[in-house]
Formats: sequence, structure tokens, C-alpha cells
Amino acid sequence: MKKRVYINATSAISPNGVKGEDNILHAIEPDYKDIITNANLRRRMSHIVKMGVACGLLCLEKNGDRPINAIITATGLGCLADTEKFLNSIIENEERLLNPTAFTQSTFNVIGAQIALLTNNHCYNNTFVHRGLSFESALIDTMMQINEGDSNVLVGAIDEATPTTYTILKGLGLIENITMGEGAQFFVLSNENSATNNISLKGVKTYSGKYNSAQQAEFIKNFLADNSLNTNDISCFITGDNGMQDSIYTDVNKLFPSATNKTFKDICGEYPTASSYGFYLAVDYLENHPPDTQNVLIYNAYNNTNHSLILLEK
Amino acid sequence: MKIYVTGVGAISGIGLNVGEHLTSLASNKHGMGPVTLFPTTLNAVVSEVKCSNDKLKEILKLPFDKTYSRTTLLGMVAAKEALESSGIKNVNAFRTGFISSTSVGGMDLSEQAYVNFRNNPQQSDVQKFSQHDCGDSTQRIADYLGITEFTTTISTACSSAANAVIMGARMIKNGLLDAVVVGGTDALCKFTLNGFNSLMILDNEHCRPFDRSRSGLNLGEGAGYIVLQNEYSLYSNPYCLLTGYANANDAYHQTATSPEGEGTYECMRQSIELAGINPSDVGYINVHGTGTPNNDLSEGKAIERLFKDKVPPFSSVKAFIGHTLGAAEGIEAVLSVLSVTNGIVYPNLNFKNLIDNSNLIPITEYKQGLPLKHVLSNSFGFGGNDSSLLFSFI
Repeated sequence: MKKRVYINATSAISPNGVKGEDNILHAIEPDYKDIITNANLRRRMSHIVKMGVACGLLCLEKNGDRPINAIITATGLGCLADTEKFLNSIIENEERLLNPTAFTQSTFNVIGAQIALLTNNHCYNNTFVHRGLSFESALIDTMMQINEGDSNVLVGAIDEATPTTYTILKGLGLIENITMGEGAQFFVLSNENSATNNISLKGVKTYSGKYNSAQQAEFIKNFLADNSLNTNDISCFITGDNGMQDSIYTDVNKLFPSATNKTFKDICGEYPTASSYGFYLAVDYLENHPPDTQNVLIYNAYNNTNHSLILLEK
Repeated sequence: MKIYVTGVGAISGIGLNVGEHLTSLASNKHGMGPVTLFPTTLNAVVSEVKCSNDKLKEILKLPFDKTYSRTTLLGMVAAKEALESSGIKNVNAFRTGFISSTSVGGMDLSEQAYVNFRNNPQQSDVQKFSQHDCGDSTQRIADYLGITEFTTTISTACSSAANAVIMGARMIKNGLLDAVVVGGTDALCKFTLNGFNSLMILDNEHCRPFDRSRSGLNLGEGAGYIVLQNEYSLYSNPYCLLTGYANANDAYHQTATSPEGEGTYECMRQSIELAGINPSDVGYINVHGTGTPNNDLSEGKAIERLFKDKVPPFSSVKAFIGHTLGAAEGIEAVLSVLSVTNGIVYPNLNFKNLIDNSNLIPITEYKQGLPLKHVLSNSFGFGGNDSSLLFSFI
């Protein structure tokens, strides 16, 4: 894809590294009534929907409310609390006279749809729900939209932590010694450098399966070569190290001996779209470092099977 | 760049493969009946795939002792048929991706497991939830097909599969893939049946799309996939071209459509514009036509606004296969491909009387061998998510 994809605005509603008594990193939420001003709409929204919609609206505001040509969202597990609420109501009321709100608010695309509704946006609207690669899929869609001629795309990711998910993931052995988290991150990507910071998204690569260190190294080197770079060109290497899969991350870290190493799951916790917080952190790093050419690479492995590489440059 | 359609595969209440679909459609044989897949107190009419999970495993040569969500099994059957009909023998010879959609994922397993879980979370068998997320069925189907290139899942309610087709076509056009299997799969489950019932948009009788007496939809289940390729990766004679597609948002209401069908109009208009043709070139429309008073009225208005006094022949197949949600446009894309390739139009069952203040009479007889150049297919979802696809004769 030929066109350069600038990152003009970012927003996050994240746990900021503060763990709750339940050992989960819960997002620190803003006062929603200042952001989602329609009280009726807000009342129907569950935690994840409020978090996502508010984060999206904040991002649009930071972008000077410029017109948006596409809204693309990502979520690994969707609106779990409302899904569970509706399941409970089916059982408790024996399928009779159910309130449809939890059902209609549990659809995976509800956040992108509500942002479109609130901003009267009739443009392209899509939602990716592919585990640890949902956000990356949304970024690929975004890059294509811009390459096809769109000027401003709102792209974001949202996942929520619920007590039931915690119990299930614990039971499945997926979060042993790993802190579960949640959050929402949104970005405006554009063909114009309107934020004048010259920060752009250069490439995204996803792959699934279990690979050894040598294979991982090959994936990473090939991805960099596709973008005319080698490992020495990376000034900051951000990994999805969650304290558990350290062997994967230790080995890939060795590929970048001269780069600054950063992690993000200590701040946002582990969840399917956590790499969107890594992306948020990467933009922040580039904004706050000297203007000479900088490349930041994010490597994330979700459940050690969904791998992604995201490359940003300034 | 041209996007060729080279493979088709479908499973639904009217057939386990594409051939059976055409036979059923040609003989007015619908798939409706009572719910048999799970116990329910609802008196609903649904179109179930007439095949148990064990029978599906047998067709797929999968081990009987392993658990798969019905969404996965249905998807495997249709995706396998699509890939085989494309002539692609080795998916790794070119960059072949898989983009699938679903609205419920493994909910058929989760909703059963949840009954025990809610009473005793700590003692419950949580393994049963491991196939819950939407990506699980997609990954299992990709593994079954041997696809290791780009794989992802889309979920935008009832337009999901159309958006999977659009994403796949764009990935080829942007040079990211050479071939891609695209479509969707959804199993019928208690969760969605109760969801649509709570919205009071289910008809307890056989649905009547575009008829004055229509009073709701019937749910269905199934899966449908098509194979898209660029010209460099072609093995066989393609069925047709995918020349137009668009997604637009109604931005009106979470579950209802705007009275004038703003999003509906836009996605049809943009699809035709992308193909570089005129509305009068469209020879047949496979409408969304769910049979709800709201959908058919606003879809009809949008069609009349776009095509004016030259509305092409159109019909809804929902009275045959039900509304299969995340699979709907997968199955209907297959039917639209066959429509433009073989000049077929499908009957709209149960049409008797015109909707008030409308002149829209759907096709009520199966015909083939018609000189169709372009076929438009619509699907609209919750959240005002509206998509159209346009297939063209080669």
C-alpha cells in the first residue's frame, strides 16, 4: 500500500496500572455524562459500551471533530456483561417477556454503531472479532481505507473484564500468574499530517500458531525487510510481555540489543485487544522523543498463538 | 483490478450443498419447521439444517469424541465445498486467506454450559466455554482447510458475511492476498431465538417477505462461502465477477431501519457506482427482505428511490432458509453468484398482496436461463450496518 498513514489523535480509557481487590486491572473511567450527553442512550449502555463510545468520542474531539470517513472497531470477546445478563434473563424468566435491551446491546458492533448514531455518520462501519488479532485486523482495514482514498478513519479496540470471564479463563488455565485487564483505545488515522507530528503507521502483520524462537526471529526479520528495515533500525521495541510467556519475549528481545525495551501489560493488563494499548504507548513514545527518524516495533503474542507485529515511524 | 468468484459452498435448512439448494428453490421446498435442536417454550417457526452434529462430523470425517460448536461444523461443510469448487488444490501455492463472519460464535455450547455454571461457577466444566469467542470457529475452519495466511473474523450482526466478502475483495485489490475464502456461519441457538422474540419481530407462522400481511421473520441457520481470486491465481473458469460492494451506516436506531432506508439506499447506490454501471443495468436484486414490517417497507422505499420506475425483478429467499444472521449474506452471495452465472431468479414464497402505497411485486416463480448481466444482493444488520454486493456476468 502506497499512501502514508498518519496517526493524528489518540485516546485511552485504561487501568493505568492500578489493580483492584479482585486482582484485575479495571479501567479508570471518566465522568461519562460529560461525554455521552444523551441520558437515555447512556442509561442503556453497559460498562464496555460506555467505555468504548466515550473513548471514541474523546478521540474525535482531539482530532478537532474533523469529518470521519470510516469507523472501524475491534473486540476479542465483545459485550460479555450484557450477554450474560440476557442469558440469565432467559433462564430466570423461562423465555417469557424478556427485556430486549441486553440482547440488542450485546451485538459485537454496538460500539461502532453507537458512535455512528451519535455523530450522524453514514460511512463505512466494520467490526473485527478475531481474538488477539482483532485490533490488528482493524488496523489493516484502516490502512486499506486510507489507501483507497479515505482521509480520516476512526479505529479503536475495546474489551471488558467481568467476574465470569475471570473464573472461566482461570479455570481454562489461561491466566495463571497473569493479570487480567480491560480498556478502550481509539485513534484517528489519516492521509494528512494534521497533527504535524509526522507519526505514521507503517505496517501490520498477523500470524497464528506455535513457533520456536528461530521461526519467530524469521517472521520478525521478514516483516522488517518487507518494510526496508533491519533490526538495527528499531529504536524502541515494545512487547506484550505479561509476566508469564517470558521465554517468547526474552528471545525476541535479544534481536534488538540496542533498542529501548518497553512493556505495556503491566499498565493495561492482559486482554484480547491489549495490543491497542501498546499502540497508544508507541505513539506516546514517538511524540516525546527527538525528531530524527525513529522506528517503533510492537510485538504481541496472545495466548502464545495469535502473534502480531505493528510498525510505527516518525 | 478484477475480482473473480471461483468457488461456492452453502449449507442451510434447504440443503447440505449448493446443488440441493437449487433443487429446493426450483421446487418451492422450504426448510421451515418447529425448533428441534434445543428445548424451548417458544412456539417459533425456524429453518434448521436437517443434520445432527454427529452427522456433520461424519461428513467432515472428524472424530466423534471431540466437541465442536455447531457454528464451526456448519462453516466447515460450506467452506470446504467452496474451496473444492474453486479448483484450488494447494492453498499455499498463493497467498490464500480466510475471512469469516458469525453473530453467535460458539454460543450453542456456551448457553448449555452456562445453566450449570451460574449455579456453581467454581465446580463447573469451563472447558465448554473455550469455543465461545467468534474467532474460535474461524480458526478451526481455517485449520481444517489448511489456510495459514491472513485469517480474521467479522461480526456486524446480519450484514456480517457481506462485510467479510468486502474485506476479502479489498485485500486482493490492495495486493495483500491473491485468493480468499469469504462468508459466514451461524448456528441456531436459544440466545438469538429469545433475542429476536424479545424484540417482537418473530413471526410464529411462515414469514411473508414483501407481502402486506407480513408480521415478522423466521430465524434459520447455516453457512455460506465464496472464493475470490485475482487473475494471476486462477485455476478454473470463474463463475462471475464481484464488481461492486459497499457498506454504509443508517445512523438511525440500534435495531430499526430509518423510514426512508438511508443506509440501504447508500450501500446499493455506492455498489452500482463502484461497478461503473447504471441502476438500469441491474437485472435482479436478491433483497434482504426479512419479512418484518419495518425492513421490507424501508428497503422497498430505498429500491424505488434508486431505481425509480424501472425496479428490476427482485425476491427474498428468507421464506425458504429463514434469516441466518451472520451466515445470511454468505448463503445469499452463493445464490446471487449462481443467479448471474446461470440467469436464475428465485421465487419469493408467500407473496399475495402488495404493501400499501407500493408497487413492488417480487418474483414468485423460479426461472433460469435469463440474460442477467448484473445481480445486486442486500443485507442489513443491527446498528444500521447496511451492505450490498454486486456480481457481474463474465
